[in-house]
Amino acid sequence: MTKYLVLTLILGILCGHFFVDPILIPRFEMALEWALLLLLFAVGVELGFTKHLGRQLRSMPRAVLLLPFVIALASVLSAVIVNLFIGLHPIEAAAVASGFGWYSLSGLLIAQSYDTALGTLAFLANVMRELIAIVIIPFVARRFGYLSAVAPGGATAMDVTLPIISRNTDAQTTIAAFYSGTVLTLLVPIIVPLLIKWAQVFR
Amino acid sequence: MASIFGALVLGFVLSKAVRFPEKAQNIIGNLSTVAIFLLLFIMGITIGADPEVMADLGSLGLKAFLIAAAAVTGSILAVWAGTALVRRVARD
Repeated sequence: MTKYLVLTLILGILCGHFFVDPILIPRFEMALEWALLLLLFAVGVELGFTKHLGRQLRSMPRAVLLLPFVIALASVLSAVIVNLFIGLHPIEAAAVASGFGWYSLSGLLIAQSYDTALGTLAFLANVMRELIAIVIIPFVARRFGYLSAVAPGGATAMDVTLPIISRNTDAQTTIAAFYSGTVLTLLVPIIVPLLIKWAQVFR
Repeated sequence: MASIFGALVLGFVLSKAVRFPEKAQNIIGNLSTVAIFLLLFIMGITIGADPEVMADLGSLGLKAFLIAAAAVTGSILAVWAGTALVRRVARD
């Protein structure tokens, strides 16, 4: 399944590159939103099929509430560390990683209020985060446990990577993933502008 | 954001309200698979059709990959370690 997901994306990129006029991009972005809604609707229906969901929710450890914050902190710190080999300003690297996979918003925020090149980098890095997540979630779920499979998707654990998490873990983890993805999605428009403001001081 | 939550709740309520037979459940279960393929295809188009993004892919691609891979690896290890820690505390 993963192989076909990646192939589908590559096919889309090729189709877009060779057959689609850039003027039409906003239309496809709108189609993207509809596809996203269809996806979430389908995940909702599937959650509804799950038996004893209430009991599963109540038995969830309270520490799960910390999940998105652990993911956020670890993402940003890891990016700052790997930046030693890249050479951006550490705060710039932190801002790029604070997209948590939400490529459209993080790219836009950085490009508009800071620097176009860093905005494009943020866009690409977060697209790649989503892609890497799609590829490795099945492996992570098997090797590192269900909850760890929520981490790679970051903010996308509430939409794009949610069905993949759901397919490879259980209903309880799916709920935790939706919660974590939602919190991270809310954090993006707060943390990215803050870091950008901070980065501007050093520029 | 609100519409995303709305779509999820709508799907959930519908599947609770209507008692689908087992066979229909299996068919509907494939709906999210169809949706994610559709989503990735359209996402690919929006990337491929943007000449600026395609032009920068070469120069910025490696940096972007390094940051993405680091964030993914770091967050997996952090959740993994955190889960082990919470389990140990709960046991003691």
